[in-house]
Amino acid sequence: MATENELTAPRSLDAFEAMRRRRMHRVFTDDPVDREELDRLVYAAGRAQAVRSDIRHLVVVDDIRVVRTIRQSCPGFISNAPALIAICSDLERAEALVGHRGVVVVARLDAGAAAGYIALAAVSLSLGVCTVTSWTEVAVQAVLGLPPHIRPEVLVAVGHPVPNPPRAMRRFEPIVHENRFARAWVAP
Amino acid sequence: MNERADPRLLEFVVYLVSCARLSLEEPEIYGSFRLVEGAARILDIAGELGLAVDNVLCSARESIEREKLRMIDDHEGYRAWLDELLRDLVTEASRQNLADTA
Repeated sequence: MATENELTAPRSLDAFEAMRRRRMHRVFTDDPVDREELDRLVYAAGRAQAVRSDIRHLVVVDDIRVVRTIRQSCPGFISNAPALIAICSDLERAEALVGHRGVVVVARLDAGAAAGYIALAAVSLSLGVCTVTSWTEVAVQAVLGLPPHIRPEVLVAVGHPVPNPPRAMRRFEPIVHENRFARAWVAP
Repeated sequence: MNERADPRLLEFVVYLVSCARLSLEEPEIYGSFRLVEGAARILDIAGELGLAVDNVLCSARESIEREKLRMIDDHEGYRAWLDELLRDLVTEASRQNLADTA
């Protein structure tokens, strides 16, 4: 993995601008994703919140044969992305360190945060990603050879977006409350 | 029967079985989406399998790619689009069947 200085120094993009530009991509060019670029996404995932060490596992897939098998067996993987990152959790370690809530809640939250960081880093790298959640654990475990205590949490498809991608889905706005539920937050 | 299956056939069967399992946990509309995505995938490999694809099916394939994601945030539009796609395909099937038996 690249050093922190290598990763943070040359590319800077305002965080809010990255959030504004973030979107899901489902149509990619045939160009493979460089390992250096994937490594930057690994760095981003590693910087996201994690309740304890050694719970999060990342499986970086750029073998097109494995990607193809994922596409076949994961119905939600509807893009032609040439690479993906599977964000996984070690359930035994989560249970031991954080207990039941660590397994059923926190590990999943942390994995979601990692996927979010990857999505923002992708904007900075001019890559496109698509968070994929429609699949069964048994299929992903079989394709990636995950042991039973490693739970796949989310797949992030990665590729180079086509120059004029189809329009993004509309943004879903949160419902924001002030102090207590049902009193609308008013932006200053 | 011991020879290796055509990988394209295996690919399609794996996709369908994966959808069958996933559909037990997803809302109904996702089952619809998986089916129409399956239609697109079989059209994608039809040429390689030596199955003729005409303008009607090409148009259907393009329509699926263009409209399928309405399933996410425009259920009424998705339903209306599927009605239109189905009407076009059934009309074509009827036309072809009637021509065959004429």
